Amino acid sequence: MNSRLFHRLGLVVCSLLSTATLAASSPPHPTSFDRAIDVLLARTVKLYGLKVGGEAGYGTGIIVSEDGLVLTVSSLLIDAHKVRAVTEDGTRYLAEVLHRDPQRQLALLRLRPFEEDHGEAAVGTSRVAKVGPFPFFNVDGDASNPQSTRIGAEGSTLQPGDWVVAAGNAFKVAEGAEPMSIVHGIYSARTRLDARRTVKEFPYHGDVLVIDAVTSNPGAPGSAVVDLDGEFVGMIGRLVISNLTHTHFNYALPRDVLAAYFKEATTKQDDKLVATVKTDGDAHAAANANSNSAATTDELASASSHSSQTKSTVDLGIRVVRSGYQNVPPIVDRVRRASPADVTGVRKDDLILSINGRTVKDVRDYDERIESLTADDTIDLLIRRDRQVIRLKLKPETKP
Amino acid sequence: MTPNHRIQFNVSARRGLLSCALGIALAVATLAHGQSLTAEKDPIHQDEQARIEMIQRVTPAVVAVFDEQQRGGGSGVLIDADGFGITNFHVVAPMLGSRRGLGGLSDGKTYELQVLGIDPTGDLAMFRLARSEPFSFAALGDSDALKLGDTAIALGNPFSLSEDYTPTATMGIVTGIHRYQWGTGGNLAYTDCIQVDASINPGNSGGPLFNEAGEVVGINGRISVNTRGRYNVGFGYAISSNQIKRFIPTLRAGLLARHGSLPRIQEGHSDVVFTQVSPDSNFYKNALRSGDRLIGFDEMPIANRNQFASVVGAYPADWPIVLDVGRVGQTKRIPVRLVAVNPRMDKGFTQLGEQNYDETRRVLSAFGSAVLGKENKLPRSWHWQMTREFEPNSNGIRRTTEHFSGNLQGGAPALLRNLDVPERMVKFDANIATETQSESREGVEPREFLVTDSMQLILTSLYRAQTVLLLYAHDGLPVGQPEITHVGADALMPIDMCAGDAPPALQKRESPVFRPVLSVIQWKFSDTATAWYGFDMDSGRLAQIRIRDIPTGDEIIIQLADYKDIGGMNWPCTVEVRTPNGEFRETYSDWKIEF
Repeated sequence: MNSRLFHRLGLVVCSLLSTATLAASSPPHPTSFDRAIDVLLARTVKLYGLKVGGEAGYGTGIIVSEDGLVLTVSSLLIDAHKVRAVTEDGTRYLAEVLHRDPQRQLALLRLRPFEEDHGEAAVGTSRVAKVGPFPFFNVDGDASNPQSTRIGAEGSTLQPGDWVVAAGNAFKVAEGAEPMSIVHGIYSARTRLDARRTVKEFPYHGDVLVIDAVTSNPGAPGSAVVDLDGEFVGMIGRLVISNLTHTHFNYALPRDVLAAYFKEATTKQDDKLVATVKTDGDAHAAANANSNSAATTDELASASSHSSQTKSTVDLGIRVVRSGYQNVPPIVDRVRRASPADVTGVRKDDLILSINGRTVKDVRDYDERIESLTADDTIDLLIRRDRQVIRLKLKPETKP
Repeated sequence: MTPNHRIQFNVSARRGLLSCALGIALAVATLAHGQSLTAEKDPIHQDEQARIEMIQRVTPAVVAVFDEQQRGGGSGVLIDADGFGITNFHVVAPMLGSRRGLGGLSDGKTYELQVLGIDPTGDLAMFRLARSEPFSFAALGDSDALKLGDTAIALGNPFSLSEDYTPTATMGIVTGIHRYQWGTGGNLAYTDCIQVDASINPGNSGGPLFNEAGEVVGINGRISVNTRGRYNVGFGYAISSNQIKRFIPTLRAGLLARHGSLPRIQEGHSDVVFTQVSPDSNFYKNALRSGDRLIGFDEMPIANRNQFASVVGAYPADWPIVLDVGRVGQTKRIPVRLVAVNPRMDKGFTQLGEQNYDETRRVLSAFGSAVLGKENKLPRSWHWQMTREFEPNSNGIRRTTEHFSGNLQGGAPALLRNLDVPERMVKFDANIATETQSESREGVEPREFLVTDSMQLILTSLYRAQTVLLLYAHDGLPVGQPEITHVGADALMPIDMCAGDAPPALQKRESPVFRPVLSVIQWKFSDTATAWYGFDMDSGRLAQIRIRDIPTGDEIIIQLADYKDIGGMNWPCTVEVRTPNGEFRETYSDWKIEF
């Protein structure tokens, strides 16, 4: 089952690598994209936030309520002290993080007036002026439009082969009031993102919409996807890259998944929750650990490292240096106090040469080695410190 | 297979099938019927058919560009039958040593390619293919007319895929307009460019981007990539055709193109403010002052610095622009000429080739046939009659109509011998009959106009232009000597644009007004006077003469329009004379000329 799905996804991803093939096989353009583009541009915001390492520091959000609730992906971007949002007319807002979901990798923000002083004040909702009204996508719109959840759900009217259009802040091409970049393609399939063997760092395993346009670009996650009538279809999700083939998966999260999250986040959402999210170190760290929105290979490396910490069954207590490059040697950056590594005597700046007798060339190698371990193993670690080669034996911990 | 073949195939297939076994005939005939229906009615198939025909039509104009060893590989497009084509500067940069390369066309043949003018700042270059027969070419379209979502088709030779030089076609939509993409070290900036999701890949560089009508709206040359590698991820950029048009005369003449800019400005988040307007600049002369805030650029409202940076980069140096500026509670309209930004000159393209004097000859020859007609003869004397109307603004006269007549004769032999002939060599007399409709305000005396001066200026300037032609016709044209050279491009600035303290309210528009482009030939009369003759790029007609008095820097602009046939000559029946800032302006019309 898994292998069949992987094969299917693999084919889709591979075919996307050559857009020349794509253009040749695309249906013609008798239809106009005008409606879809107008709807998209009015309801999408450019986001600017934290830029660390491979993170792009910019992204996209979708306006989902008249008073300025914005749906986007959960990423390092929104960890910024002040996340800024720019609407179609070029107006700047602060975007306050209300809620984030590490499992679905989604987040809900609220637009606030852009004033330097309000960076802090934004949390206390009572004191902050209202913004809007904004044109918005009715994501969960059950009452006002009973048909509005049809798209992307089972039995939807959107058929594989139909055009879809997205607008987003990919590559930060547009600034201020300049219209964001458009991407168009064909909705290929609705399927489970179940290729865990290749995309294990991504915790979401629900349905996705496969799109035959390159959507996995820096800044694109959070882009709204609509059909030719401008009907909301879904949102481009976080980057999913195969560790095996380095191919990027081009997909969107379907509307019903977003609607479910939106409902959950808005019912739970009150000031207390906001405070919890803001101050709860664990929740914050969890979100951090899963951050992976920028389309870079170094990000891939860090993603797999996070996965080794969150998914792998063993934990040595070692963090290795991760720079912006792919082939960095595994140098110990930090050793957690009282961890197996600490107890055994691993130190910062040690270079890891081999694990259980197998040479470790770089961080990727290291991650793969660590992931293949089980808690029962005793680990034979060869490290280089200054001019010495040291052999250490560790008994790893099982991760919680 | 041509579209016609395809249709014929369908028809004959249907006929043949009638005699086949019933079952098969039924099945296939249904299919054939379906096809013929789609060809006639189905909008999808109509659309597809139109696209197929368009691609077939433009394919012969698409060039695969290589160096002499047939290495490298970019694309290009021919824009006229003489083999002139455009590509990216970065495609021809490796060929600048020899200025030679090869161009492959869809007929499967390669042709010698000569690199002409280059524009390193804007990543453009002109080349010419050599062949005795005329080439197929593609027309340049209006890139300002593009909207988001419009169909865009790129043709070129990505990944050097094509062995027989037939181009690869990729299709997408316009995904962004008026984009700004930074250059590297002052070069290769893509300003006011078109963003497309048609797949553009290495090798597509320099190739054309077509609109649905098969007009070239851009030159593909750049993509956004990330660490995955140098291939398309849905973000390609093309240099817009309207920017290209402004550089074509310069590039055709084999010159190094320079881009324009404005004097020192401070760029805030929302404002563009002039901080230092030097008193000896043309900006100051035309009443631009430090502290003025830029609000309009050739009638396009400017809201922020990004918009300004994007717009200005699409213009050549010395280009005439009308600026709207805000100054304490008022707005002013100020005509200026842009200052030059020098491209960063790398090793390898510091050596510019010789000026393409063929181009000077071509421009003059086109003018000759446009003005003199088939006979190509220049009269030695003119008797003329015309009317002048003017509306002076400072002396109380509301409107005056004057009728002139006179003779101009005797200058030609002298001019033929010596280009540096003083104005007085041309005998000039004028009879002025003023039909006074002027109304003087009380206490204000009507000003005495130096009618004969501007009249003389016009006639002698025209006479000089004609003389150049005559010289050309007699093979005595000293083209290539320092006196007469091609100096690139200029624009026609309508006289109404250039004056007035209260400009009309700026309409919302996404791009500046596009003005007709002129191909300019410079004639140094003497050490003290130079004239620039601007020929309309499309019609070949003389559209503007600028004369500058070198010691003072004063300039007179003569604009010629409304060409009509008079006595076998194509004569500009409306002539406007003005100073660059429009303070002095006169319009002459109703010419009657006897030769």
